[in-house]
Amino acid sequence: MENNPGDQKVIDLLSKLKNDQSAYPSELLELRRRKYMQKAVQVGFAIGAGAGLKNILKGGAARVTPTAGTWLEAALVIAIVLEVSTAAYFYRHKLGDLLETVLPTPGVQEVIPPPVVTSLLPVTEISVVPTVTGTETPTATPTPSDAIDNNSNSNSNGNNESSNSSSGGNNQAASTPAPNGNNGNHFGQTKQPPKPTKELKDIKVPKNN
Amino acid sequence: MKEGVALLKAAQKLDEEALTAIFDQFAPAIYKYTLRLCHDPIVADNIVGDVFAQLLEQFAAGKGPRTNLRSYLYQTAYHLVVDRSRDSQHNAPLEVAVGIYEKGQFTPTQTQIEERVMMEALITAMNTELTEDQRHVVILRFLEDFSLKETAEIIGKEVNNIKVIQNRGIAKLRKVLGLQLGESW
Repeated sequence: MENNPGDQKVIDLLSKLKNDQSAYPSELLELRRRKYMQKAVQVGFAIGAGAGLKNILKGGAARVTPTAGTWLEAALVIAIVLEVSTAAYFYRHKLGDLLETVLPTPGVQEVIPPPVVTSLLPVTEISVVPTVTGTETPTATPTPSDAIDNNSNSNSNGNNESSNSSSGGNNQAASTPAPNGNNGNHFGQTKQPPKPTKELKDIKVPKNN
Repeated sequence: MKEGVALLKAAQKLDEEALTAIFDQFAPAIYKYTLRLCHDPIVADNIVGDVFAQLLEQFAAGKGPRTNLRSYLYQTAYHLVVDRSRDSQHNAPLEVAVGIYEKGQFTPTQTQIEERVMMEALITAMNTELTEDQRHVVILRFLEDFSLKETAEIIGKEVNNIKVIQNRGIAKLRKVLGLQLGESW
């Protein structure tokens, strides 16, 4: 290729171009050099610190056998734990005060057990009693159907009943129908038939069902 | 001052003096090479910074060049230039590359004027007519004086491939310059 005179002339021109003076601007070069040296120092420091640490570890490992090293390590750990626990014992009051100041004081809501669990059981017991006692109050009752609904609700859902009972006792009293002399087949309220005398043993008493 | 392999070994141990010597020795050349490729002094300066930062990181990691530091630095610069040229195309004015001819304080002779015209034509042809590979090979071979083997290492191709690329690049330059200069040579 280079035998071609044209190619050789191109190469000669290129070699002349090689000597152009597009030099590194001095201010740019100085700035770049400074940055480079800073980075070199940083890298060298990091590497030097790492190497120093490695040398220390290597030196320690060379003097002490592995078994002794393990024992030394265990003894060191035990000593540290003992020291810390002793210091904690001596300064336990200060530590307690410090913990009290540092840690947030526990809120009242966290200490009191959740009210939902405790309130459910009494409400379900109460929900039965007012309906029974309400029947004895002869206050005005809007419709018997309401009473039935309330009773069915009390059987099915204790929460609804508790909310109703807590909202006001007037609804329960008003929901019971007027007895009109007939209290129904309630335990202890049903009129007992007269006990048969000895003479009337043969008379059959109708069962209430 | 340490030379060659001794300098490289000292630099691998992050010897400050060796690192400084490497920078002083190669930074201007890398800058010139990068400037020829990207035509932007600021970009060239940034690439020089990246090249030497990578070198430090390689040394810190226990890696880096073992024998030919110069090739390694040019290779790093080459890859950085290629990466940047993929992101953006730089078309700097020609004066950046031929600044020497603008600074002449003397009155040029006829021969010097002709040579200057020819040089500008050559630079224009290099920037516009050659492929990326051809431009890199021509610059590394004839402006940076790398051997075929070194150029192959830097670019990451086979030596024979470099020969072909070089021949085609020179032939293209000759053709373009011949056309522009009226086939005078």
